[in-house]
Amino acid sequence: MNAQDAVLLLKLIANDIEQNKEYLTELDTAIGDADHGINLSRGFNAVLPKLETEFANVSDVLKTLAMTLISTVGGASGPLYGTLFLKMSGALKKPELDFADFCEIFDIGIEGVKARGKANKGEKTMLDVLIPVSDSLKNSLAEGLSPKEAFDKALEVAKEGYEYTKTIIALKGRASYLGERSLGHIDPGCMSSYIMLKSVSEFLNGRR
Amino acid sequence: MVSLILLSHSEKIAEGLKDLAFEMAREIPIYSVGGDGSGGLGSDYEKIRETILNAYTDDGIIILFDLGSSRMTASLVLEELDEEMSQNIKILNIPLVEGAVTAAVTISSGASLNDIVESLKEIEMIK
Repeated sequence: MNAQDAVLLLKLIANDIEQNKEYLTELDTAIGDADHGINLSRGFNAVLPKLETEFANVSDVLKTLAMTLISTVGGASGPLYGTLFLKMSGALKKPELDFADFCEIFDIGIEGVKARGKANKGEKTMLDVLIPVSDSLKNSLAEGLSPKEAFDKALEVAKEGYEYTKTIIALKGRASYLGERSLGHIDPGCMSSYIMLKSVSEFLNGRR
Repeated sequence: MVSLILLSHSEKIAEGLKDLAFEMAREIPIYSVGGDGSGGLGSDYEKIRETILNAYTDDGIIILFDLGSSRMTASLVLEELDEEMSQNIKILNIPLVEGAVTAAVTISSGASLNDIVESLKEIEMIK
Protein backbone atom coordinates (compact mmCIF):
# COMPACT_ATOMS: atom_id res chain seq x y z
CA MET A 1 0.00 0.00 0.00
CA ASN A 2 1.40 3.38 -1.00
CA ALA A 3 0.34 6.87 0.11
CA GLN A 4 -2.24 7.20 -2.67
CA ASP A 5 -3.88 3.90 -1.64
CA ALA A 6 -3.89 5.03 1.99
CA VAL A 7 -5.67 8.24 0.97
CA LEU A 8 -8.31 6.26 -0.96
CA LEU A 9 -8.83 3.94 1.99
CA LEU A 10 -9.14 6.87 4.37
CA LYS A 11 -11.86 8.40 2.18
CA LEU A 12 -13.79 5.11 2.40
CA ILE A 13 -13.42 5.07 6.18
CA ALA A 14 -14.57 8.71 6.44
CA ASN A 15 -17.59 7.85 4.30
CA ASP A 16 -18.48 4.81 6.40
CA ILE A 17 -18.14 6.71 9.69
CA GLU A 18 -20.44 9.39 8.27
CA GLN A 19 -22.98 6.73 7.20
CA ASN A 20 -22.93 5.23 10.70
CA LYS A 21 -22.82 8.52 12.60
CA GLU A 22 -26.31 8.18 14.02
CA TYR A 23 -25.93 4.52 14.91
CA LEU A 24 -22.68 5.22 16.82
CA THR A 25 -24.29 8.11 18.67
CA GLU A 26 -27.28 5.90 19.50
CA LEU A 27 -24.95 3.30 21.06
CA ASP A 28 -23.22 6.08 22.98
CA THR A 29 -26.55 7.49 24.17
CA ALA A 30 -27.29 4.20 25.92
CA ILE A 31 -24.09 4.06 27.98
CA GLY A 32 -22.09 7.22 27.39
CA ASP A 33 -22.33 10.90 26.61
CA ALA A 34 -24.17 10.55 23.29
CA ASP A 35 -21.50 12.08 21.10
CA HIS A 36 -19.35 9.27 19.63
CA GLY A 37 -20.80 9.35 16.11
CA ILE A 38 -21.03 13.13 15.95
CA ASN A 39 -17.48 13.55 17.25
CA LEU A 40 -15.87 11.00 14.93
CA SER A 41 -17.77 12.31 11.96
CA ARG A 42 -16.53 15.84 12.74
CA GLY A 43 -12.98 14.49 12.95
CA PHE A 44 -13.05 12.51 9.71
CA ASN A 45 -14.82 15.30 7.85
CA ALA A 46 -12.00 17.62 8.92
CA VAL A 47 -9.47 15.13 7.51
CA LEU A 48 -11.03 15.00 4.02
CA PRO A 49 -9.86 18.42 2.72
CA LYS A 50 -6.35 17.67 4.00
CA LEU A 51 -6.19 14.58 1.78
CA GLU A 52 -6.22 16.70 -1.37
CA THR A 53 -2.48 17.39 -1.10
CA GLU A 54 0.25 15.02 -2.32
CA PHE A 55 1.66 12.68 0.30
CA ALA A 56 5.15 11.21 -0.04
CA ASN A 57 4.50 8.25 2.24
CA VAL A 58 1.90 6.35 4.26
CA SER A 59 3.36 7.58 7.53
CA ASP A 60 2.51 11.20 6.66
CA VAL A 61 -1.07 10.20 5.80
CA LEU A 62 -1.40 8.51 9.20
CA LYS A 63 0.11 11.53 10.96
CA THR A 64 -2.28 13.95 9.26
CA LEU A 65 -5.18 11.72 10.27
CA ALA A 66 -3.93 11.47 13.86
CA MET A 67 -3.31 15.18 14.40
CA THR A 68 -6.65 16.13 12.84
CA LEU A 69 -8.56 13.68 15.04
CA ILE A 70 -6.69 14.92 18.12
CA SER A 71 -7.50 18.56 17.41
CA THR A 72 -11.08 18.25 16.17
CA VAL A 73 -12.89 15.28 17.77
CA GLY A 74 -13.40 16.78 21.25
CA GLY A 75 -14.30 13.51 23.03
CA ALA A 76 -12.29 10.56 24.31
CA SER A 77 -12.16 8.96 20.86
CA GLY A 78 -9.99 11.88 19.66
CA PRO A 79 -6.96 11.24 21.88
CA LEU A 80 -7.49 7.46 21.67
CA TYR A 81 -7.73 7.04 17.88
CA GLY A 82 -5.28 9.94 17.57
CA THR A 83 -2.76 8.02 19.66
CA LEU A 84 -3.37 4.80 17.70
CA PHE A 85 -2.63 6.46 14.34
CA LEU A 86 0.15 8.69 15.69
CA LYS A 87 2.06 5.70 17.10
CA MET A 88 1.46 3.76 13.87
CA SER A 89 2.79 6.72 11.88
CA GLY A 90 5.90 7.02 14.05
CA ALA A 91 6.65 3.30 13.85
CA LEU A 92 6.48 3.11 10.05
CA LYS A 93 9.94 3.72 8.67
CA LYS A 94 9.26 2.86 5.02
CA PRO A 95 7.33 4.97 2.47
CA GLU A 96 4.95 2.09 1.71
CA LEU A 97 3.21 -0.47 3.86
CA ASP A 98 2.92 -4.23 3.45
CA PHE A 99 0.93 -6.72 5.53
CA ALA A 100 3.83 -7.54 7.87
CA ASP A 101 4.51 -3.82 8.44
CA PHE A 102 0.84 -3.28 9.21
CA CYS A 103 0.81 -6.06 11.83
CA GLU A 104 3.89 -4.57 13.46
CA ILE A 105 2.76 -0.94 13.58
CA PHE A 106 -0.83 -1.82 14.51
CA ASP A 107 0.52 -3.60 17.56
CA ILE A 108 2.60 -0.55 18.52
CA GLY A 109 -0.44 1.69 18.03
CA ILE A 110 -2.53 -0.52 20.32
CA GLU A 111 0.13 -0.36 23.03
CA GLY A 112 -0.20 3.43 22.76
CA VAL A 113 -3.98 3.23 23.19
CA LYS A 114 -3.57 1.00 26.25
CA ALA A 115 -1.18 3.49 27.84
CA ARG A 116 -3.25 6.55 26.92
CA GLY A 117 -6.50 5.09 28.24
CA LYS A 118 -4.88 3.15 31.12
CA ALA A 119 -6.99 0.27 29.82
CA ASN A 120 -6.76 -3.34 28.75
CA LYS A 121 -8.87 -6.08 27.18
CA GLY A 122 -12.11 -7.01 29.00
CA GLU A 123 -12.93 -3.49 30.22
CA LYS A 124 -15.52 -2.71 27.53
CA THR A 125 -13.46 -0.37 25.40
CA MET A 126 -12.29 -0.30 21.78
CA LEU A 127 -9.46 -2.59 22.91
CA ASP A 128 -11.97 -5.48 22.98
CA VAL A 129 -11.98 -5.28 19.21
CA LEU A 130 -8.47 -3.96 18.54
CA ILE A 131 -6.51 -6.53 20.56
CA PRO A 132 -8.23 -9.70 19.22
CA VAL A 133 -8.02 -8.29 15.69
CA SER A 134 -4.32 -7.61 16.07
CA ASP A 135 -3.77 -11.18 17.38
CA SER A 136 -5.81 -12.64 14.53
CA LEU A 137 -3.88 -10.67 11.91
CA LYS A 138 -0.54 -11.78 13.38
CA ASN A 139 -1.68 -15.43 13.30
CA SER A 140 -2.86 -15.07 9.71
CA LEU A 141 0.47 -13.54 8.75
CA ALA A 142 2.32 -16.47 10.34
CA GLU A 143 0.02 -18.93 8.52
CA GLY A 144 0.81 -17.26 5.21
CA LEU A 145 -2.69 -15.94 4.48
CA SER A 146 -3.05 -13.03 2.06
CA PRO A 147 -3.98 -9.61 3.52
CA LYS A 148 -7.45 -10.00 1.97
CA GLU A 149 -8.03 -13.39 3.63
CA ALA A 150 -6.51 -12.14 6.87
CA PHE A 151 -8.78 -9.08 7.08
CA ASP A 152 -11.87 -11.13 6.18
CA LYS A 153 -11.03 -13.38 9.10
CA ALA A 154 -10.17 -10.45 11.38
CA LEU A 155 -13.54 -8.89 10.64
CA GLU A 156 -15.27 -11.95 12.08
CA VAL A 157 -13.06 -11.66 15.16
CA ALA A 158 -13.98 -7.97 15.42
CA LYS A 159 -17.67 -8.87 15.32
CA GLU A 160 -17.18 -11.37 18.13
CA GLY A 161 -15.28 -8.63 19.99
CA TYR A 162 -18.09 -6.11 19.93
CA GLU A 163 -20.72 -8.77 20.67
CA TYR A 164 -18.63 -9.79 23.69
CA THR A 165 -18.83 -6.24 25.06
CA LYS A 166 -22.59 -6.77 25.58
CA THR A 167 -21.74 -9.39 28.20
CA ILE A 168 -19.30 -7.34 30.28
CA ILE A 169 -19.45 -4.36 32.60
CA ALA A 170 -17.63 -1.18 31.59
CA LEU A 171 -14.58 -0.51 33.75
CA LYS A 172 -13.22 2.47 31.80
CA GLY A 173 -14.65 5.62 30.34
CA ARG A 174 -17.97 7.32 30.88
CA ALA A 175 -19.87 3.99 30.76
CA SER A 176 -18.01 2.80 33.88
CA TYR A 177 -20.15 5.17 35.97
CA LEU A 178 -23.16 3.02 35.03
CA GLY A 179 -21.69 -0.17 36.46
CA GLU A 180 -24.04 -3.13 35.84
CA ARG A 181 -26.37 -0.95 33.81
CA SER A 182 -23.73 -1.01 31.07
CA LEU A 183 -24.49 -4.74 30.54
CA GLY A 184 -26.38 -5.69 27.39
CA HIS A 185 -25.00 -2.77 25.38
CA ILE A 186 -22.33 -2.76 22.71
CA ASP A 187 -19.36 -0.50 23.39
CA PRO A 188 -19.50 2.36 20.85
CA GLY A 189 -15.70 2.47 20.50
CA CYS A 190 -15.70 -1.22 19.56
CA MET A 191 -18.32 -0.52 16.92
CA SER A 192 -16.40 2.38 15.38
CA SER A 193 -13.26 0.21 15.30
CA TYR A 194 -15.27 -2.54 13.60
CA ILE A 195 -16.64 -0.09 11.03
CA MET A 196 -13.10 1.07 10.16
CA LEU A 197 -11.85 -2.51 9.86
CA LYS A 198 -14.80 -3.35 7.63
CA SER A 199 -13.78 -0.47 5.35
CA VAL A 200 -10.21 -1.88 5.22
CA SER A 201 -11.50 -5.35 4.41
CA GLU A 202 -13.78 -4.04 1.66
CA PHE A 203 -10.94 -1.92 0.26
CA LEU A 204 -8.80 -5.05 0.01
CA ASN A 205 -11.71 -6.73 -1.76
CA GLY A 206 -11.68 -4.04 -4.43
CA ARG A 207 -14.18 -1.46 -3.17
CA ARG A 208 -13.28 2.12 -4.16
CA MET B 1 5.55 30.22 41.86
CA VAL B 2 3.98 27.08 40.44
CA SER B 3 1.00 27.67 38.11
CA LEU B 4 -2.30 25.84 38.48
CA ILE B 5 -4.43 24.77 35.50
CA LEU B 6 -8.01 23.63 36.09
CA LEU B 7 -9.22 21.51 33.20
CA SER B 8 -12.80 20.38 32.78
CA HIS B 9 -15.17 19.13 30.09
CA SER B 10 -17.26 22.16 30.99
CA GLU B 11 -15.99 25.70 30.57
CA LYS B 12 -18.40 26.81 33.32
CA ILE B 13 -16.99 24.28 35.79
CA ALA B 14 -13.44 25.34 35.01
CA GLU B 15 -14.23 29.06 35.36
CA GLY B 16 -16.32 28.66 38.50
CA LEU B 17 -13.65 26.55 40.08
CA LYS B 18 -11.02 29.14 39.25
CA ASP B 19 -13.06 31.71 41.20
CA LEU B 20 -13.35 29.31 44.11
CA ALA B 21 -9.62 28.57 44.25
CA PHE B 22 -8.70 32.22 43.71
CA GLU B 23 -10.67 33.16 46.82
CA MET B 24 -8.27 31.07 48.91
CA ALA B 25 -5.04 31.96 47.14
CA ARG B 26 -5.18 35.33 45.38
CA GLU B 27 -1.50 35.56 44.64
CA ILE B 28 -1.02 32.42 42.59
CA PRO B 29 -1.38 32.07 38.80
CA ILE B 30 -4.58 30.06 38.16
CA TYR B 31 -5.80 29.23 34.66
CA SER B 32 -9.07 27.61 33.66
CA VAL B 33 -9.74 25.74 30.44
CA GLY B 34 -12.81 23.76 29.46
CA GLY B 35 -15.21 22.72 26.73
CA ASP B 36 -14.83 21.56 23.16
CA GLY B 37 -13.92 24.97 21.76
CA SER B 38 -17.32 25.61 20.19
CA GLY B 39 -19.45 26.10 23.27
CA GLY B 40 -20.12 22.41 23.96
CA LEU B 41 -18.80 19.93 26.49
CA GLY B 42 -15.52 18.18 25.73
CA SER B 43 -11.78 18.75 25.37
CA ASP B 44 -10.06 21.04 22.91
CA TYR B 45 -6.45 20.14 22.16
CA GLU B 46 -5.50 23.60 20.88
CA LYS B 47 -7.09 25.46 23.78
CA ILE B 48 -5.40 23.18 26.29
CA ARG B 49 -2.07 23.58 24.51
CA GLU B 50 -2.35 27.39 24.49
CA THR B 51 -3.28 27.46 28.17
CA ILE B 52 -0.28 25.31 29.06
CA LEU B 53 2.07 27.52 27.02
CA ASN B 54 0.62 30.67 28.62
CA ALA B 55 0.87 29.24 32.12
CA TYR B 56 4.37 27.84 31.75
CA THR B 57 7.30 29.09 33.81
CA ASP B 58 10.38 27.17 34.94
CA ASP B 59 8.69 26.77 38.35
CA GLY B 60 6.28 24.38 36.68
CA ILE B 61 2.60 23.68 36.33
CA ILE B 62 0.09 21.49 38.13
CA ILE B 63 -2.87 20.35 36.05
CA LEU B 64 -6.09 19.05 37.61
CA PHE B 65 -8.76 17.46 35.42
CA ASP B 66 -12.25 16.00 35.68
CA LEU B 67 -12.87 13.05 33.35
CA GLY B 68 -10.74 10.76 31.18
CA SER B 69 -10.52 12.64 27.92
CA SER B 70 -9.36 15.82 29.67
CA ARG B 71 -6.39 13.88 31.02
CA MET B 72 -5.77 12.11 27.72
CA THR B 73 -5.80 15.33 25.74
CA ALA B 74 -3.51 17.10 28.21
CA SER B 75 -1.07 14.18 28.18
CA LEU B 76 -0.97 14.29 24.37
CA VAL B 77 -0.10 17.99 24.55
CA LEU B 78 2.72 17.23 27.02
CA GLU B 79 4.17 14.53 24.75
CA GLU B 80 4.46 17.04 21.92
CA LEU B 81 6.36 19.59 24.09
CA ASP B 82 10.13 19.62 24.74
CA GLU B 83 11.05 17.18 27.45
CA GLU B 84 12.61 20.01 29.45
CA MET B 85 9.20 21.66 29.63
CA SER B 86 7.02 18.58 29.99
CA GLN B 87 8.93 17.27 32.99
CA ASN B 88 7.95 20.47 34.84
CA ILE B 89 4.26 19.83 34.22
CA LYS B 90 2.38 17.37 36.41
CA ILE B 91 -1.12 16.04 35.83
CA LEU B 92 -2.46 14.91 39.22
CA ASN B 93 -5.12 12.32 40.05
CA ILE B 94 -6.83 14.29 42.79
CA PRO B 95 -10.49 15.34 43.09
CA LEU B 96 -11.03 18.38 40.90
CA VAL B 97 -12.99 20.67 43.25
CA GLU B 98 -11.48 19.96 46.65
CA GLY B 99 -8.12 19.30 44.99
CA ALA B 100 -8.16 22.73 43.33
CA VAL B 101 -8.58 24.50 46.66
CA THR B 102 -5.97 22.31 48.38
CA ALA B 103 -3.53 22.71 45.49
CA ALA B 104 -4.04 26.49 45.36
CA VAL B 105 -3.33 26.86 49.07
CA THR B 106 -0.33 24.54 48.89
CA ILE B 107 1.08 26.43 45.90
CA SER B 108 0.62 29.77 47.72
CA SER B 109 3.06 28.57 50.40
CA GLY B 110 5.74 28.98 47.73
CA ALA B 111 6.83 25.35 47.81
CA SER B 112 8.60 23.71 44.89
CA LEU B 113 6.74 21.64 42.29
CA ASN B 114 8.06 18.35 43.65
CA ASP B 115 7.15 19.22 47.25
CA ILE B 116 3.65 20.22 46.19
CA VAL B 117 3.18 17.00 44.18
CA GLU B 118 4.40 14.99 47.16
CA SER B 119 2.04 16.69 49.60
CA LEU B 120 -0.98 16.34 47.29
CA LYS B 121 -0.42 12.56 47.09
CA GLU B 122 -2.40 12.38 50.33
CA ILE B 123 -5.63 13.15 48.50
CA GLU B 124 -4.97 11.03 45.40
CA MET B 125 -7.87 9.02 44.01
CA ILE B 126 -8.41 6.48 41.23
CA LYS B 127 -9.43 8.50 38.19
